[in-house]
Amino acid sequence: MKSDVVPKPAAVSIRGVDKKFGNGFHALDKISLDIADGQFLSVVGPSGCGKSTLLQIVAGLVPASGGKVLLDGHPVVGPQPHEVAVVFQDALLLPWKTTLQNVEFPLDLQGVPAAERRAKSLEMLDLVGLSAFADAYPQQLSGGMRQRVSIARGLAQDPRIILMDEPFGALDEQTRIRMGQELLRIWERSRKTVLFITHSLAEAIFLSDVVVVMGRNPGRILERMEVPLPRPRSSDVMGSDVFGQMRNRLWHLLNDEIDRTDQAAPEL
Amino acid sequence: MTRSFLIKTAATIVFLGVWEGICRAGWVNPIILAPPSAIVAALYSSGWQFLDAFQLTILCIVFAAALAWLIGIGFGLLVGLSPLGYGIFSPLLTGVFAIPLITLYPLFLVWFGIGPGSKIAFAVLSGSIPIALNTMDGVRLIDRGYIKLARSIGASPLQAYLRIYFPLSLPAILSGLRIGTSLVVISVVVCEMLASVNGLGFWISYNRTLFNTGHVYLGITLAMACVMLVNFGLGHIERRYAALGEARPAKAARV
Repeated sequence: MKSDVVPKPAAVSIRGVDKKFGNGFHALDKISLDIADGQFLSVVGPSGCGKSTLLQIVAGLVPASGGKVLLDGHPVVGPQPHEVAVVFQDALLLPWKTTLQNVEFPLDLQGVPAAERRAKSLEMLDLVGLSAFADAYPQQLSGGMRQRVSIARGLAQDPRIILMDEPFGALDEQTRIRMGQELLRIWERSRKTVLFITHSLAEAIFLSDVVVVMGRNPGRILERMEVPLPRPRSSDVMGSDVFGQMRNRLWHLLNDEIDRTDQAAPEL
Repeated sequence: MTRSFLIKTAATIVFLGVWEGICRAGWVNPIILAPPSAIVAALYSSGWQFLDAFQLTILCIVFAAALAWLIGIGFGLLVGLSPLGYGIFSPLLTGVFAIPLITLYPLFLVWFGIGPGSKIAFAVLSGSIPIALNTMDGVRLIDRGYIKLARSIGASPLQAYLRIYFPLSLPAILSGLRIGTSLVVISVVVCEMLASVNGLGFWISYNRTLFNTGHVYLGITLAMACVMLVNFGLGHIERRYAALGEARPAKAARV
């Protein structure tokens, strides 16, 4: 392992990022946020707070109107498939390709030799627990399994940073909790830097080192909270006092914000 | 052998039998309707001379179909992803498609001459429009997430179009290809009938003036066989592809 004698620059450094859309909507108001190397950081916030837009700016998929994003000190000017993988809310698998071919696909596009990308992809499929389904087609898999394939596809790119945009948002509650545990297990073995967007407060606390709460109109950071729960974590921590207190605090923060802007409540 | 195959075969035999019977009974003038046996007889009595005509027509069809596929799919892919391009070209092409394009054929004769050039050019025009329209609709309905995915995994524009957007919209493209390719076949034959000195259409037309009704029906049968072959082949691919299931846009069947 690397020693931490010299403080490393943040893996992701968001500096005064501002986003206004063409229709005048002020999505993000001078957001500044650092994510340390190997850190798991979640962003929660009500619908329309711009958390998804923020992720897409970090991914280089959407340009910021002002400010900048630095990855290890280098400004983001576009997608960086070698540095950053994005996992979207929908698995977005290619239905004519098998599970394995889907995981290999980004490497295939990059011209990685067949044997090498195959080995890498099988390793990642093993990590997400889907080796047995390497030759299955996406429509033969459940929603949770598809999302795991999409995570394996992201990991196979061997990025240092993974951006996850409500990856479990389309799954049912049981699957969602299980996927959270699964993600934690995968993350503890790969130790990537993760920026995770979610609606679910429990999910955010359970997974993260740091939870950032955003408000809307315009989108801005309300609070940044360290999660004091020790790792490795099991689902038992969800019953602990610390967990409950954190969730209450997040809930009140969001509730006040929602009362202020008066719209739909986040799910707990 | 499946039950449905047996039923289809039986229906075909009955149809041909009734047709033959009506002609043999002398209920219709043989100049108007030739019996199936006369069509078979025409194969021999023409001394296989129709093969020359058929060969030219097939060449024109293959050439025109290849161009219509290339132009239709290429144009549709490029235009369909851009809301502006779609907004401009969708109503425009739909409008042009509604015109009986054959009225333009005299112009094509002036531009490209009486030879195969004018047939191919006209067939490409009439065939590529429905292909372009269906491709545009198919591409437009792709989940926008795939566009973000393509960019985030570093796909070049060419890779994104060929390896992601094209296969994702293939169901819609295939139904466009069926319509477009059938139109190519029809256009080539009809143009040959209108103004030509060779080809299957010319052969049909020529024999009609000689009251060789058996020959005329033979020509029609050959033209029909071309369309059926196209439909069978593309339909087969379409079914195989549809078996791959969901997670793709619904088939856009508008033309």
